[in-house]
Amino acid sequence: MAELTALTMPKWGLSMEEGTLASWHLAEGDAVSEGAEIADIETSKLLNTLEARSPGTLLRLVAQEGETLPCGALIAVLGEAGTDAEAVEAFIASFEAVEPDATEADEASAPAFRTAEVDGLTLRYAEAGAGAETVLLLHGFGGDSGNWMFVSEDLARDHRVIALDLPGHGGSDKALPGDGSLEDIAALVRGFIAGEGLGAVHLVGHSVGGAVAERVAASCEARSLTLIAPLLPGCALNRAYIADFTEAKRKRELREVLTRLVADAEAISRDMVEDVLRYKRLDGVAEALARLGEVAGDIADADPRAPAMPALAIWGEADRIIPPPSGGKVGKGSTVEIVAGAGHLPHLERAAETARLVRANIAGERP
Amino acid sequence: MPRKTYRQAINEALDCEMARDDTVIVIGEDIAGGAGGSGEDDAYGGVLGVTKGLVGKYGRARVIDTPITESAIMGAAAGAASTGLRPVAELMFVDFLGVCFDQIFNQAAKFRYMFGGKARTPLVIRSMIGAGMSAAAQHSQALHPIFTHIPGLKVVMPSNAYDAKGLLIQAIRDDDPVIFLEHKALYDTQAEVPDEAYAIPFGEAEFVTEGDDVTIVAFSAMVARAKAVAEELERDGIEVELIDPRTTSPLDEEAILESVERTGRLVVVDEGSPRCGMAADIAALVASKGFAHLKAPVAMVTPPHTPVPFAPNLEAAYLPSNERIAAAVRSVLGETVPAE
Amino acid sequence: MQLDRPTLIEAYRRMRLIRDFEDNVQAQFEQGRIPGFVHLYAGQEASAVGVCLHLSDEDYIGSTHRGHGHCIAKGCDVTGMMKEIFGREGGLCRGKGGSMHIADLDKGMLGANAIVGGNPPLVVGAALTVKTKGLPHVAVSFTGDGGSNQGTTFEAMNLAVVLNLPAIFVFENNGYGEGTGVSYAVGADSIADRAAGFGMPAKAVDGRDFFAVFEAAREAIERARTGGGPSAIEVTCMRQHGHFIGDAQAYRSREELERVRADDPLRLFRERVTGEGRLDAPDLDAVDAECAKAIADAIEAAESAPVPSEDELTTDVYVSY
Repeated sequence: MAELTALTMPKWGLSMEEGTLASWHLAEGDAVSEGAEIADIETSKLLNTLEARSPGTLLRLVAQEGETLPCGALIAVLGEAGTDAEAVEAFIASFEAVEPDATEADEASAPAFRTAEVDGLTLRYAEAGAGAETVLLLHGFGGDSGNWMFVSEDLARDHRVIALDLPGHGGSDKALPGDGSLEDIAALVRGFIAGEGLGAVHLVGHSVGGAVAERVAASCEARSLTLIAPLLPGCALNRAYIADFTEAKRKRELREVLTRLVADAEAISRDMVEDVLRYKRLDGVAEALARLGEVAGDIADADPRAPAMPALAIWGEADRIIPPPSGGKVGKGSTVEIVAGAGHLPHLERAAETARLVRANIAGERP
Repeated sequence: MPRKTYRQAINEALDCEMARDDTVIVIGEDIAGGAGGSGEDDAYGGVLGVTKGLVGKYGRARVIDTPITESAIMGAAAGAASTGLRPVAELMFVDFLGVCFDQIFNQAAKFRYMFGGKARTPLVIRSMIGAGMSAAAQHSQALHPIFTHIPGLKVVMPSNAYDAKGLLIQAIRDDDPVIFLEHKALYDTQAEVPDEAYAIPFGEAEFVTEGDDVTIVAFSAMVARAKAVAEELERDGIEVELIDPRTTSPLDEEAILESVERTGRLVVVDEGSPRCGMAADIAALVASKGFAHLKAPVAMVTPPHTPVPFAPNLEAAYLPSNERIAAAVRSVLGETVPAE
Repeated sequence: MQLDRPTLIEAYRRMRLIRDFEDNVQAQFEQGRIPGFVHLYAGQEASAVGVCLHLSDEDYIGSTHRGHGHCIAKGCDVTGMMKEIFGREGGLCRGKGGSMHIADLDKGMLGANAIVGGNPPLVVGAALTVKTKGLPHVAVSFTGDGGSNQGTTFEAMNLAVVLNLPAIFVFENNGYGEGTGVSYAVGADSIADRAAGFGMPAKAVDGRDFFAVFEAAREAIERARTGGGPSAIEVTCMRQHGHFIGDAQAYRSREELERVRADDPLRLFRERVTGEGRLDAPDLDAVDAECAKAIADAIEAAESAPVPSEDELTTDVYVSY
């Protein structure tokens, strides 16, 4: 009997428990190539596109559009064209019978939060996957490790992936190290790398996290450097965004501010706004954001300078926070890739494409 | 994110603020319990266990058991607040307000205005409201409209554990007297509550659900009922915008008016008595400032104008039920509702 | 305890200032220049001053509707008080409190209080602050015989004993709660005995005698400052005027009203200190002149002060809202 493959509701990130099948990109009977866009899945945060991991034919769409299912639930069956319908039915029936156990198994091997003490501060990080090499993900201003939800699973297939909550963010202490300067934060991240024995890592940083990654790369050995919409010296930072994000206290205000981050305003969900608002209410966050806002302004005011090591820089073409560099370059030896249909969050808005670019850079296959 | 009960959330808020600021004290009847007894210390931790464990951490000097003496508790808390402490006084059951009316309404609420703006009274009065436990007429009222009526007081009514922690922390840090009303039927409800301290600003309504067909404004324990109704109606294609004002004073008028401007229909659900109550207040707000947007008369779902009864079936009939809320929504949508 | 000259002069100065203040407020009120209603303290000066001379700005007092004397004894500015009573800008409460709600928190004056029995629980709270913060201060509640019957006062006394707070309950027994006599309205023979029943030391003193009040207050305040807990003092005194200005006092006999004049605590103080050679008449005359001028200036300042701006109507309800 031909082998059948279950396509299941993905679990993107630690907090995702269920997803809604927003729309199918393909119909039953369509051939699927590896990396083909199969469906749009709506999570409580953002909409993301599910891509095929292996080729085949889409034999059966199990989930209906608009249906909400727990992570791990069967949504479609892939296999060889012309597979007997009864076999597909039997597969679906047997899958449903084992589905709850499968979910538990997923949770056992699912990524987990851990904490580390560095220079008197508690830092939280999400860890997933295993491999000889470690990828360290550094989020941006006001974000957290959850921002990597759509790409970390992909990267974790063959790497150890660590998504750090920077100080002042996520589950880490809300106090900033030292006087909160970029150098102080970079030193803390270096301390984290050393303390956890990560060795030479692949650094991936977004926005302010990109600035941190670049400074970390300047002072300790890194295998590669990937910068997503990075805050680089002399860049055209949208300071109004920083101020408005820091100030916003009401959900409606904050929603408007967050829509500036993305190409498609509809992508900002209620839950995402609620999560950011809840984060902003935590003690110490207002002070941390105010200080980081100053730091970001200082970086933007500094003289332009190339990254400390050759990097891949990835930008959403519609980035309204830090627009892609006008000359299309960030420095000698570095490459800039523009992602269509994305704003300041290509790793969330065009996750699959961004993940592919990151993987290529990590593999040393940068264009 | 850890899930915690409303009770734990309130306890954590007290704990966070007592740890952060040693001028914060808690004072009331059986806050710890056991003082002067022959058995255990911290025997009660509050009549429903909300303040359990605080005396062990902060000692009897800051977790103060009092005699049954509401006027002295409220007055002492007001006097302590105006001289440099941040007391959190417990009024146990809000029904006991009757014996300490003066200290709250004539004293604490008025110091700032009456003394020309020089007084600062960072006082929190925690009290339990609500029916649902067959505690009958003298232990079941929801008297928030009485407090809301008094200038100088702020009135907070958390409807869930997350809000309870953030609003209580805000209340303790606030420089005005705050009445913090906990619904006794909510103590065991759970929500995701961060371990860290966080403050939710007053006067900012929560949009529990968003929708364009009808606005429901509900308070405290009525929020969960209205939410259940909203979910039920959604299956019939009716999109409810459910607003939980969280504080009745200050009131987020803007949120309510803005919502009604979109939906044109308003249902107010409140557990207070109907006369001069919150439902009437919200209805009056919309009638006077949002009349042009109304497509149907405002519906109010409240108990009848009676004391709270004891017998469980009568008490159930007293409280706004899901059925009555749903019927009110359908009526403002112009649907014919079969007689009950 | 033998008082030195400056203390004696200061005691007399405060009593005289109260008397002049009240006499002039009465005159102004009768001329229709003061709105609302006013309760005069004249005749009871030895009580407020005998107690407050032991207190600093860091100690607290709570007062009553008959509160001008307590304010002055505690050091409130008479011009600010007069402006307040006139309902003018620059009043101690910006013209928003009036005679019955004068407060000056910087002076430890927690407010006159128009609710009979309103202040004792508040004073217990101030004492709780002092104890919680480990400070050597005290809080004094001034209440009348009328207030001694209120449940709030009973609760306050009990809680002060239970928590062993540095609170002193001063009961100024002036014989009347409004127009009803103490012999009728206070069920016990002695307010001091009743206070003692709550478990605290209590004394009764003659409120015409400044020295008696001063000594009883010294003992109670000293006890409170050193962790000895609350005390009560019943000060028997004579209200020179009615319950409010304009009260015909038909409930008081002619003989009683004559005795009030004869038992004037200021006159008794003057006679005693000059008779014992501790102060000379010219010293006291100089104080009289100083006080008369201070009150005349206060009235002039109050009369010429503008009324509060109407913007004040809605300010200071909350610190933030």
